[in-house]
Amino acid sequence: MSAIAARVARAPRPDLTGAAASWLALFTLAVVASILSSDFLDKQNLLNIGRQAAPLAVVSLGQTIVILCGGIDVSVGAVMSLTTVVVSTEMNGDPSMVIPAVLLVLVLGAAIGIVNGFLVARVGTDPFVTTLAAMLIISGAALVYTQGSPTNGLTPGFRQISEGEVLGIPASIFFAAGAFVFCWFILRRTVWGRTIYALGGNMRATFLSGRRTALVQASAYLAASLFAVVAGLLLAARIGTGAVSAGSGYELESIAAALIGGTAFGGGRGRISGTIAGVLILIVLFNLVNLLGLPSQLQQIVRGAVIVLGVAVYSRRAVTGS
Amino acid sequence: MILQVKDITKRFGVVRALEGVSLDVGRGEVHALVGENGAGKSTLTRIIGGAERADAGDISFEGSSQALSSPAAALAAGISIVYQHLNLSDELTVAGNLYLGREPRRALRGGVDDKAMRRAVTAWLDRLGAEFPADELVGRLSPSDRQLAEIARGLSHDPKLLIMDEPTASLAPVAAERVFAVLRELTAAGLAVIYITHELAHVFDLADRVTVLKDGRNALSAPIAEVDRGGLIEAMVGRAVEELFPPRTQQPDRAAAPALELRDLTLPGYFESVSFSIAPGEVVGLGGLVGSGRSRVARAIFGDPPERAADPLRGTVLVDGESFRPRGPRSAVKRGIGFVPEDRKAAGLVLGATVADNIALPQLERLASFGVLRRGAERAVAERETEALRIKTPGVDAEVGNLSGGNQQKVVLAKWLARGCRVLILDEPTPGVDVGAKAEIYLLVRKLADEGTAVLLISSDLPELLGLSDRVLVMSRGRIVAELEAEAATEESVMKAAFDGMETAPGLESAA
Ligand SMILES: Nc1ncnc2c1ncn2[C@@H]1O[C@H](COP(=O)(O)OP(=O)(O)OP(=O)(O)O)[C@@H](O)[C@H]1O
Ligand SMILES: [Mg+2]
Repeated sequence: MSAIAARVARAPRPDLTGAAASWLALFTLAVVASILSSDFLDKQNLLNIGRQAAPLAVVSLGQTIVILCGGIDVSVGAVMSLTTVVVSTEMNGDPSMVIPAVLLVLVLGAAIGIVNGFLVARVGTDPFVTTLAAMLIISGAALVYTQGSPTNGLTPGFRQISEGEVLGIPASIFFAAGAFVFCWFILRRTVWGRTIYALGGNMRATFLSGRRTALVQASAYLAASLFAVVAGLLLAARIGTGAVSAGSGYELESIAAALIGGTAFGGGRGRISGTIAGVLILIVLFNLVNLLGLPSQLQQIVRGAVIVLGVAVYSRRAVTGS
Repeated sequence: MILQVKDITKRFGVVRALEGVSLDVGRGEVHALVGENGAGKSTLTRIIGGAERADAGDISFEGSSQALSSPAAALAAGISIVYQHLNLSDELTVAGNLYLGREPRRALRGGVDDKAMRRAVTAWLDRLGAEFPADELVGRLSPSDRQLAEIARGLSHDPKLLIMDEPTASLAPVAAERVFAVLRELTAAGLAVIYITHELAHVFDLADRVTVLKDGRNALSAPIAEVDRGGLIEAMVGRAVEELFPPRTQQPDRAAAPALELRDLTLPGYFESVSFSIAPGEVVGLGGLVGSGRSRVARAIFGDPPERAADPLRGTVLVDGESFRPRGPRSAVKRGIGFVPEDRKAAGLVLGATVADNIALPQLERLASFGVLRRGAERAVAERETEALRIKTPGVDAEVGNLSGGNQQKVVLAKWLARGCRVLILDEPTPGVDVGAKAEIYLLVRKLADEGTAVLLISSDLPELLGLSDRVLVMSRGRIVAELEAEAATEESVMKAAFDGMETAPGLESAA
């Protein structure tokens, strides 16, 4: 094949179609939303969407990594909840405890991720079952830890990571953007990221190419847990309290965001830009329910419907192979 | 004519897979379809079988030009396809898989009962000489047996036109003979067959007519009596391929320390006391029947499956005179061992990834600084290898799964050529590779050997084994039963050793 022909014919990566399609869907949704509600394009509303999207974006990035390598992590919501209660309890209103408290939850998250990763990658347990068990254990531990009551130890300074504004934009959006850039870099530019994609595509071929498949697979769960901790911190700062159920729902929403964004269930294909589009689609839908004054229970139904939609889109792709 | 294909055109983006291709097949005729990798053969079969739609052109089957809009419609009309890329589901049994293919028909013609189905499957498997039962899980079959199961599935539909896309690429020669015999019986009764292959010997054995595709166009169509091997190759490749096998210019230095040495390597249940050594620059062929344990030896050297207490590997492996414990592929790759596994789809390639990604996979560290990939270096390697191996692809960013079969196989080789290795193990390196490309691959292997690489070649393709190897070892039932110098080895002597081994060796029952 001559170099010229190769240059002319450079096909776009097929997985772009997934991500691009989700951005198109988001754009369409935004247009519809702005027609349905005149408040939608209001600056405050848009910033609100951003603030609300930030924790989901961060946790969904980690979820995408796990799905890319062929797994799933349903414990991330529980990790977020645990983060909110531990960080607020340990902080206990003392500004000097902010950094120790944050370090502590990062260590806790890392430990959970390592256990999940070890079980799935080395012991060979099923990812769904393993992380489901982890979710139950973590939730239980959080309950024991707080005795069920919400904890209100967050310092005003800490809350600035979500509520503070830089150039008029909520700080949490910058954190989410930073997480995105970091995630993009490790997935697209490093040996590790390349191995994540490869082992999601074909574990055996990757293994036979001399890659450290077990280690990399395990580290994906570590990454997902750490992203969940960061998401939990942003969430705590936003809601201003630690609650044992603060993060519940995020496990499904993060999975939905990744799938709507075009990441293939089963691994190997997907882009985190698509995941961000998926996150925004979900948040805009929730926002719309509020703006239109619809009963908030409808949010649940919208959530469920969107998840089904995401999975349906994916299965269609799988059958037609496009 | 049972099938008339006229002026079919098909493009994939900018790739012109087919440009005005025509093909006529008569009842009872075996029509061979040949051409280089990427010539468009599989695309044509997918169009005839309703799995893909042509951009332009007409197809008429049994005089009706009604478009065959789906695989189910084609099947109902009497067209059955044995696809190149194995399509069986690992988790189902052989019978279950064959039954699955039947479902679209069940809807059209009413129920098919389970027992009758199983009987039919068993009958076809018996007729094809399969040595596995219909209720074996497909995932546990060797590539050869899977291929046989796939053929049985194609036949069990009782088609009027059977399209076989490289049915023998991973079929053991003995099994291929049985398949041919069955095909001859069926065509005598009126079955029409389109037979795609890269093995020209099979074309002359089996076909009544032959059509050559080149770059998506008709290059030749003639009764078999009017063409010869040389003419066929020229029509396919566009030039004459004089010598398939490069001459052995250098004598391997057998006095030097062997690059690879095995001493009494034993994996209980699979192979026993395997000892041999390969000098730097030597190509050693490992012949024998499918299931004689050859692939297991190769995988053991490479550390696959990784060492577990449950299956203790005994004996010693030495690389360049130093003892090497095959702990897993990673340590083997680090030690300079490369491995082209026999099943490229399952073990050789990440089909959803790009050509460049696949080629880079065994050497990502080298293409990175501090874990960060140097994209320029990565691309450069991929571009160099695709050019050197003449891999036909729209670019190194193309998805490997969209390449034609032979080009996929070249990508597997490119992975290890790009990395460079001391010892290269090739387990069936050329199934589905066209003659021209085969000659190129052989030249590359020889060049690699001349540069000092030790090559272990496992091949069921006897001409390949004999033409490329400096020395041939024959395995039978998990043991090495003969060692033949290249000059002394013939197809007969290798087969004789393999069969003698079956009778005399006290070895293992069935090693796979
Ligand atoms: N789905 C697809 N998307 C893009 N390109 C494709 C697709 N399918 C086939 N092609 C291209 O069309 C051309 C013809 O491919 P095809 O598989 O028909 O070749 P072939 O003659 O069967 O080759 P082989 O002998 O290697 O199997 C190739 O260049 C291939 O890369
Ligand atoms: Mg083909």
